[in-house]
Amino acid sequence: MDVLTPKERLLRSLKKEKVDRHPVICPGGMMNAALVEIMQHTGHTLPEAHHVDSLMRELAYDVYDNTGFENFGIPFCMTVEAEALGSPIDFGSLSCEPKIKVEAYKSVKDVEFKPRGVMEKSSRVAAVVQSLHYLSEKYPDVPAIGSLTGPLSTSASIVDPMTFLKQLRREKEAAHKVLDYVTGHLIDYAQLMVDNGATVISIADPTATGEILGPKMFKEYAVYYINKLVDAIHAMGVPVIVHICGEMAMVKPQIAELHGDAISVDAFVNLKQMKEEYNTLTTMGNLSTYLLEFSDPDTIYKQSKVLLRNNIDIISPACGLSTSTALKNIQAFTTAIKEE
Amino acid sequence: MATKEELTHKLAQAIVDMEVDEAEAVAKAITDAGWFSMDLLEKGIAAGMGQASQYYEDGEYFIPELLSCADAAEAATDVFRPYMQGQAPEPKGCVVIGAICGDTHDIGKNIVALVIQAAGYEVIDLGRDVPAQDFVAAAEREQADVIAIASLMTTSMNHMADVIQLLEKRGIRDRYGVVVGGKPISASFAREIGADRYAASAGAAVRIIDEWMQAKKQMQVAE
Repeated sequence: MDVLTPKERLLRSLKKEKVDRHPVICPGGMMNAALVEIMQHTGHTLPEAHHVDSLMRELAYDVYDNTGFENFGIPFCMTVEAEALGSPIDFGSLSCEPKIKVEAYKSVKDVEFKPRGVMEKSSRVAAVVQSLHYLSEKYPDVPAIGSLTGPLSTSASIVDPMTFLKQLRREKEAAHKVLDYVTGHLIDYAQLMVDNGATVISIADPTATGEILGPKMFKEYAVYYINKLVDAIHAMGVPVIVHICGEMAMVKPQIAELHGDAISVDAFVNLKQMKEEYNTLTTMGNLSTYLLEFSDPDTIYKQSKVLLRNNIDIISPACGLSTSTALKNIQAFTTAIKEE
Repeated sequence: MATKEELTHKLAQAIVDMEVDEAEAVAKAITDAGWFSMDLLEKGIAAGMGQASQYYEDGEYFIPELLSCADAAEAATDVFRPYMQGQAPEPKGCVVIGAICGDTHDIGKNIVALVIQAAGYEVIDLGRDVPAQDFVAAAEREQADVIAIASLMTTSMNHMADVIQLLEKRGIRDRYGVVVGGKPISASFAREIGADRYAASAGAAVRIIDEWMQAKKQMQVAE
């Protein structure tokens, strides 16, 4: 039987304290679990729920209630930050996530530095923080996770990504200036989330992978700015999950330098081995989203048990879920973990 | 003074070294000396990009480096362009490439496009978030040999099958090699949706397309 509330369990896991069983969560943002099946059933639908706080919080509750994930995860996309910093957004559809229509700037040298405070003026930031406020007040036992798009991904969402990646090498000074600027606004956004009840902040930075950047630039840019953001959130008194996409072999030592309270990874990373190599690391992951979409409840149930046997600290999907994943597959996953 | 061979080598090296200004200067030195010839595109530019692609595949270069090499190659090509006078090297084949509908990411696809182009193919890049019908329309219009479809998200990968179904519906499936790739994609998924091949990396995509072109030529000879 559960002794701890979901919030206590997650917070204790993040502190590496003893828990009654493993938590199973899905933090929102890049790891959005608003499945089409749930939305069709409840009528709280995307893309509308990206904008309206009353809908956003209802949908976050629907996801919590139906999937069995032990948290609220908000928002449901990775475009809130870039929109506030000037990029126009295509909000997608019920099944298709929002995307950047076109990046606001062609080059890191073109970026207009908006003054601090633009985050709180954004209507979508407002929807996110109001939802967090409502949910954290009404359901104090459930952790409300505020999801942030990381510094590299947000920068590559306001500057043309191909140019941006080149400029990390050729225009170092200007690139650092943009990353510093973006990180400052992300800190402001995190502060708003924390002030409004976020239990945990989760950062996903899919552009910041070892595969894209290589170890040197991963350290120079990804580790540096993610840590700057994490340190600022720690100063607000809130733990941080950092999700790193892709293959990690190349950047393993740099991963250990991240200040996040838990490191969440992709499906093909061997978390068991990583735990053995870096025993101070709190691991999170990593049930394949491919398995979740294309497999059956039985197989998913069995694979979920493998994560428990490997003693992964916090159990979650490995990456962004497909919104067409069947609800019964997700339920098989969360049930397997909760039965422990 | 440097010989033409030395300058050609220097051009390739400037591309490998990501030296945009140097690549442009060497290309200018070549044209100033009146040494431009079409084989420079192969021996200088393609050779440099080939080496860069190899470094990328070996994990010595990453995406920022590879993109910078491509910029250097582009700078040299710009110097040569007026001298080409309408002659263009015969491409090895034509590849239509794009990231499938719903996909917001296309960094990986851009790299694959770059490496395929560096290997001597004409590449028609449809960009990101491309609907299935656009792949088919572009392949027909360009009389392409290969359709390469990228997906970086589990959310969008199912749309890859739409391209193949559309080709079948039009009765033109046999005309094109269909190669799929991207992080969530696997060889078994490629088989499942009826694609010809799965490419795990940019280098693999080139090898697969080379094989496909080879087989196509042999079939044409047999006919």
